[in-house]
Amino acid sequence: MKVIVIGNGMVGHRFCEEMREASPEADILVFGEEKHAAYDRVHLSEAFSGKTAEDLSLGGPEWYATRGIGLLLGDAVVSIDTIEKTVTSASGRIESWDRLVLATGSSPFVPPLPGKELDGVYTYRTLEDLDLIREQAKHSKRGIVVGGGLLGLEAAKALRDLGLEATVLEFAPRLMPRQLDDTASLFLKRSIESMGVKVRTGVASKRLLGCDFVRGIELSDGEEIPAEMVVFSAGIRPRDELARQSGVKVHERGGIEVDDLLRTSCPGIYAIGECALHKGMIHGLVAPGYRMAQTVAKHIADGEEAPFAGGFAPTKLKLMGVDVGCIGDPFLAGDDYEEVVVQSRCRGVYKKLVIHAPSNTLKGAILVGDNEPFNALAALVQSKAFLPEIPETLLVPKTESVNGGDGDSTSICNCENITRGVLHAAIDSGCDTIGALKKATRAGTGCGSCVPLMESVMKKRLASQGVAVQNHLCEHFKVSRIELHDLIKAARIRSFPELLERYGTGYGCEVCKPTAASIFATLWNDHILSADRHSIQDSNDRFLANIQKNGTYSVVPRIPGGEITPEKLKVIAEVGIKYGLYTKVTGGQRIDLFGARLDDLPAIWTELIHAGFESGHAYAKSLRTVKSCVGSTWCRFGVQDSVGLAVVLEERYKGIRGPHKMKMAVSGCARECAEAQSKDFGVIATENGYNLFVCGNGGMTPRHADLFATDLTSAEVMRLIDRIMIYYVRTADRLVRTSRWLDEMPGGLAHLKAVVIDDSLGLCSEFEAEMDTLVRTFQCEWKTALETPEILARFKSFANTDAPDTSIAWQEIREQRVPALA
Amino acid sequence: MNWTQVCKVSDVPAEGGIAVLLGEEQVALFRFASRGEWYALDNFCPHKKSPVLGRGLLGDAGGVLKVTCPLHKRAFCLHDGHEVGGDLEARTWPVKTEGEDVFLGTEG
Repeated sequence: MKVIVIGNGMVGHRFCEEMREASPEADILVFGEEKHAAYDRVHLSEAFSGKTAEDLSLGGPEWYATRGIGLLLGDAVVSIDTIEKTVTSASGRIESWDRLVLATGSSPFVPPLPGKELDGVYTYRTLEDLDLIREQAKHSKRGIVVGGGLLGLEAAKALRDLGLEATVLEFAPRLMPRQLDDTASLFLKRSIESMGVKVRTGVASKRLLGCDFVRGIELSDGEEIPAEMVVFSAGIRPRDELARQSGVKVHERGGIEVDDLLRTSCPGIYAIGECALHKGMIHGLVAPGYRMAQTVAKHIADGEEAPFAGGFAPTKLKLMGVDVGCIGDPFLAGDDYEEVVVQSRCRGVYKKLVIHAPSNTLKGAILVGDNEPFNALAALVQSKAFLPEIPETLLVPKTESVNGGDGDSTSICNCENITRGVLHAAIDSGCDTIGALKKATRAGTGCGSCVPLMESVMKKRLASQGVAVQNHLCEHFKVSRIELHDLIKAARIRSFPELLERYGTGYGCEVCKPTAASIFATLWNDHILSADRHSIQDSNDRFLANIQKNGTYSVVPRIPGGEITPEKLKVIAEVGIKYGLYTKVTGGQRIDLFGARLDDLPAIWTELIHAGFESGHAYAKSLRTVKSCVGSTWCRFGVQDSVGLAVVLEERYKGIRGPHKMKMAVSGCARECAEAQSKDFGVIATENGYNLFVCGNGGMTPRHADLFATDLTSAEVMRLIDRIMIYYVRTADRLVRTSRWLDEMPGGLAHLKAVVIDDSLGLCSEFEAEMDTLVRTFQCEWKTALETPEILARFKSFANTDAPDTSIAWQEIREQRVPALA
Repeated sequence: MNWTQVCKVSDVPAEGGIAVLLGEEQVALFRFASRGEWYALDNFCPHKKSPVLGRGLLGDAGGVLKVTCPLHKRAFCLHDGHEVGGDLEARTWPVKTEGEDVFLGTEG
């Protein structure tokens, strides 16, 4: 078998490597037009920064000699006889072949501009071109490169390295238009410009200036850019003239037409590299050329048919020291595609992922300024593997904390603007209680919402110093909330005095009393305002409403799933008007009525309950709302009835008390309009059911929920929530939302899955039974309160008169009544 | 000292408080039933001047009996009205009970 290769560029060379490896005995002969054996054209510009022709060489004539491959340099093939299967070279040499591989490459495209034949105008393609440019540079100060593609930027680098002021002109609106999007191109442009090369995009050249020697370029708008040298690198044209003359089929716009095995129209003749047109495309980069070489070598040697995939070879470049990567097809767009972008202008880093959302796979990526993730991303495109839940993590270097919330500069108390660092300093100087910490730093003395976070900071700091950290609830109970829960449950304790007598000291406080009340509620589910219970409730629970700054209350009727009839809306409006209430739509898709006097609450609730409303538990550490999008009932994208499920969930879990409030949401499709991933329990509809997300959080420290289980039925969703919620109620510390509960849980999500899905603790049936009991014993607290005279009697502003509190001052803003400014 | 009857013992929840109106003044009245003691402070919390102290939670801190404001959890000593762990001051009122009646005292 005799194989002749026409062309000794990088791809032709690679073919020889592959062919020799596949077939040690094949007779291989190479014709090269240039006088140099194959060299690394990609790194041509490095010849200016010290590399020699030998450095760039891919092995030289010796490489061929030692492998028994014939190499004829400086002798171009001038004709092919496709019938007799011979080639004839310029020197008159005639050789016969069994297989012929055309690797003739390409030539630089020089646009037909007036003046292109002037002295000082070059192309950038070969070592000979480089020699000419180097010589001209000795007499030049300024150089222009026409073309902002890969080679053009390499040429600009070459000119800069030769000491010239270099300017790149690109006709397209951006650099490397085939590999980069607008932003990526802009980042690359900035980086290149910071190295002293000017870049002009979206400009067209009109003509070259000068008589004998070039002295610049005139742009289409008349602007003249002076230069003593112009280098064209404005694209390539396939070298297909030999094929065309010989009767091998060539596309009318250039390129030797090949099939998936790189076979041309003539039997036994292949074309590879930049001269080949595969599926209408010329591959101008070296990587696809190499894959072509491999395909042909295997086909010739073994008859193996491993088709050339074409498409998008991952491209990893270093342009003037700037990392550039392009993987897959980063230009895919439309409803099914999601773009994830991480960028930093200061660092000159831009990274983009293009994700096919329905399959959760990576389709393309662009990297500028940092190729670190390149290999991982290329593998993800290739393997079509599922992406992590938060695909951004693929783009950022692994650090200790992704959310950036653990630094000393992180603000803990936003009211007083106290950072973690300030707290640490105070703790280090001896503050080991929240009280001492508050006094020393003022943190936690404003709205107080950061106190749980302060506790967490303090405990971590003390633990890191080797101080034994007490997890005691307060000075009255030397146990944690979790231990207290277990004690109350085991001893079946039902009142606070009894609890205090058996396990506590002193008289209790604002920490242990509401905590005990919450535990009583989750264990026994009696009415929270029963005679021995009401005085240990937090103020909001005690009056079943949310206290506001002027001592009035807000009233929030439950609106399950945010779904409400016009008739019921009307009732809310009428109540609001009658009692002079300010109304506002809440973030949880219901309506808050503000400014209710303590003594008006029973009358307001009488009317609401008469109209079919129930308590919304906005005042409680319990389920708040289940937010929903409108779902498949109306929405053209919806795949499940999200409102229906939201109503069912809200009805099931309403009123159940826990260590902190809980929020839920149900989205009817992957567009996630209900923002379920920011909730304690988030449900997102799929074609096959529902995906359950857990332990998300908005608020002070936002946390995206974790995907817990996929394609569930609504019954399965509820069983999983049942188990997780009871586990949370049993094991979370006081005022710890599910997000922090999970973050601090040893073993994290995997542990939670083991307990809840695999039943590793054998507790799941117990969890479910407890939940079923809570659901069965639900009562509307307001309905019972209205039916119980002893409870109703407490809803008075003053014990000694029925008169309302007239000290409360009001003003009007935006046509509603609000508290007067103090 | 003038004593004014303001309510019945049973009007005030055990281990809890209420507000009463004494002329123009709002007074928070607390019944520490487990100690058989009564206390009274201004109903207006000295922190943000809202009439809410009567709705606070009773308890103690290191033996100091206190009421904690429902708005921002500032705590005040029931004996003398000083802020526990702070510098604020709430006015106190004398309280006494006779049988079922609860009286508040005013000077002169």
